[in-house]
Amino acid sequence: MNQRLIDAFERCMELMEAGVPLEDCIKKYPDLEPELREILETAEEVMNLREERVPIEPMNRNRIKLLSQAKFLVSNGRQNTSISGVNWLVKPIRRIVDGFSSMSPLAGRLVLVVAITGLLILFSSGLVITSAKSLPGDSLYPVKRVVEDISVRLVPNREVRSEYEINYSQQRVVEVKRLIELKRIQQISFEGILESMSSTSWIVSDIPISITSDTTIVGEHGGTQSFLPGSEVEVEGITNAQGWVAATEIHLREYKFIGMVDKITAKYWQVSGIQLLITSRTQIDVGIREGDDVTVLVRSEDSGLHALAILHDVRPITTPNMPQPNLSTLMPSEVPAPNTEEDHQVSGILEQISSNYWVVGGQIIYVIGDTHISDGINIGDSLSVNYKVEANGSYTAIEIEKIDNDEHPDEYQPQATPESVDEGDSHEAAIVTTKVDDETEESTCTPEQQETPELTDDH
Amino acid sequence: MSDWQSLATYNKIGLHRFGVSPRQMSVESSEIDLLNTLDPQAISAIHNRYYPEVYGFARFRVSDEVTAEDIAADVFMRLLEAVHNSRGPYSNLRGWLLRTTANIVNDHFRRLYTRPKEDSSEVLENSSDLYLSQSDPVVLSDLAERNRLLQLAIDKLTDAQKLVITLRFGNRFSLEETAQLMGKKANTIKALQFRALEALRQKLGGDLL
Repeated sequence: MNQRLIDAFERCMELMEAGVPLEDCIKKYPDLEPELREILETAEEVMNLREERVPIEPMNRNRIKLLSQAKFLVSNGRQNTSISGVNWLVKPIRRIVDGFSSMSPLAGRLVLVVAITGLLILFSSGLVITSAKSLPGDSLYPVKRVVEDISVRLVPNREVRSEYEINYSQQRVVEVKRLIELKRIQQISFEGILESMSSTSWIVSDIPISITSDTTIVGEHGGTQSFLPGSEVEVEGITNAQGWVAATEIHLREYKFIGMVDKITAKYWQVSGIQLLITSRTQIDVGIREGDDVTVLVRSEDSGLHALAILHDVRPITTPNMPQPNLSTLMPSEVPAPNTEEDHQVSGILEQISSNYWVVGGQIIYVIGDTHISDGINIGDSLSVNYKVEANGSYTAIEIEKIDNDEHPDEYQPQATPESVDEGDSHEAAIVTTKVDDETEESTCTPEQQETPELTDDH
Repeated sequence: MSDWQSLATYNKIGLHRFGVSPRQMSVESSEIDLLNTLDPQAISAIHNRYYPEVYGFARFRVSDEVTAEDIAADVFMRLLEAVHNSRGPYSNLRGWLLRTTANIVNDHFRRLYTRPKEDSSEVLENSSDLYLSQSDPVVLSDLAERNRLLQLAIDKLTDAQKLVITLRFGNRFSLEETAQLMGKKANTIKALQFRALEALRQKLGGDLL
């Protein structure tokens, strides 16, 4: 084919698009005149087929129809297709493959061949097998964890997947023991059973753990009282040459707490500010609504807190003579009951007053008819609360006293909220408001009054 | 035959490969992400952006605007269904839409050719989609008749030739855009286009030109 003719045609096309008449274009290539004229005339005819106008009305009609159909599809929910189970794998692969199509055919094929070859080498050269023996800190360790993740995800059966997860969890324990044997210093995390505990050291799955003042303990009551031998815990820390793990954080894997339902969605609930993932296995009492008090049994997972059960909090609030239901019978698993005979004390800022509980220093404390409450307490006051721990793990206030800030200026300063730290004025405003409220004659406050403190009017 | 099957057939014979630039791919990826949520605003924006191209493609190939509108509507409806079934585009939305348009146009002509007929030579004359009725005021228009014959001639080209002619003349895509969409080099598109026009000239002969 005459390349010069093709190039001349292309140039003439550009000129004709710009408004140059066909004859003028042909004059530029007199030696190609007959062939060029024929092909340009054909092109001109084809050009005339083009319809520049896009009908607006049908376009708008179609958009409305499309949106209506989309709404219908959304209301019907997305269909589960055969590939949806492995969509996490298929989607990126298809994106990569689509990416190849944007390259020239040869380059695309070349990259694809190289990628496939690389993968074959990766998987056939024993890399995966070698990585299986690696320990945290080794260069191949990430490969090992990725392979584990993939194998867990590819298992379609839930029971088998659970077995895989347990096996890999045990693998973590073995790895930590090996690191201790090798006296390597390495950041680790593992899950295990709490076997024994003292004030400074615990044993978790035969691994000695040192507890220091820097160790964060995450459990039912924010302390170690809910940790008992036999509890399933997750330990994060650093192995050392002395043969133990210096714990930075220890989670109780399963615990319960009482709170108020803030928000309910299909995938998660928010209870007293804590977001809980809801799964198909979560046991939820019928009729729970936002604002209700609930007892929640949670399990700490890598993906977040999974709600195992959300149950109505049916304990009596203002009538102390009402018999206490045994909530442990409602629990899906046995949770050891704390010592209910012993009185405890907590001090903190009064953050919220609800109809049946107060929030003091972030802790929910239930208030009953027998609770002795000092006069003149308002939100923002520093309080000292004597309480007892109920069989279901909740706190019931016995006595609530206001702490005079002047007597303990260093110990009980009102806590600044994150916002007030940024804005010094608002911090001052909060303190002033407390003083103004102190001057009022009312000794009790309704929840509505407490939830909407009027700052601006008083100033 | 489904769109993907059609595409597979095209790919098998190396004729129909769409691609886009990395930059456009990034824009389209974000569009696709929004589309996957079936978000009304995203759907509306995508429809407004691509409808003219889809309609333009269809209108260039079929003789009446109502059929072109139907084809364009069908394309977007198929897009929604594909997204709903997790079989939608993953990176190249424009390519997916034009590919689907090309498939539906081909199906449209295939249906016309396979309609029960008494005489194969009368297929096109009996087709209401391709032949204007006697009552139509434009039936005597030379231009309309020429366009009809030209569209029939285009439909007889090879798939790649049809595509290059439609993208270049119907959608006014540049050589580079057409090359990217078809996954070929610009010089290849030049040659393909030239051969397509030559083939058209030969098919039409003295009837048209």
